[in-house]
Amino acid sequence: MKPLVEGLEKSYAGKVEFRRLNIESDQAAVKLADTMGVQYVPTFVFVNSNGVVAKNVVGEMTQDALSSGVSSLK
Amino acid sequence: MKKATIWIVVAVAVVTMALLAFRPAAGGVKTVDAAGLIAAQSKGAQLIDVRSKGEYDLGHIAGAVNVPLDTLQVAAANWDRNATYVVYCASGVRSSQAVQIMTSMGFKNIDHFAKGVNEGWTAPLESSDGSSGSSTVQTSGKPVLIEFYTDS
Repeated sequence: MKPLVEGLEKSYAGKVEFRRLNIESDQAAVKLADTMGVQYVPTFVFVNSNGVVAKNVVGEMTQDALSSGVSSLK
Repeated sequence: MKKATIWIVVAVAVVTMALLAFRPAAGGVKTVDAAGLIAAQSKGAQLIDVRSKGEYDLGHIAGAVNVPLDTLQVAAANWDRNATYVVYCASGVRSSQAVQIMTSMGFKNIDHFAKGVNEGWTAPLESSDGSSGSSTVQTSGKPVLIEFYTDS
């Protein structure tokens, strides 16, 4: 999924923050995943600017679905 | 005379039934915005967050109690029907269902924060670890996409 997400990151540069968290190597990522109840990878968490989770998607996503999810964030 | 009495009784019954059928819905369901929510809360209304516990824990309006929609009917069984409640969720879908449930249960004063926290609330939320002024997902004021992944 890395190329897809990186492509989107360029498209939304300055408007949306992208965080790619490796839960094998990053303990802070593991802690956050636990807090958020993430059990499977990949999981995509769409968060509005006020910190409220708008949507969780477990599993691979198409570019269109990712783009649609990101563009709907407020 | 007997016939007239019967007609009067029938007429009274019809009028009574009509009044019951067309009375305002359960005393009052009104849609409120963020300012209305705050005003209601300041007057003693109880905020009800009908999202899931996970969503609530990540960030909720201060003072709200979490009653997920699927538990509402049981949880609300003993609540005061005359008190005022402000119901909200993320976008207004679940809270609309909650309003219907509460109306059918006889609650008389329900304020519906229909836009929900996603669209209608811009102030900081409170997270369930007790911290105020920020949600669990810290943002820099921009929306965030988080991808949890592994290399394997």
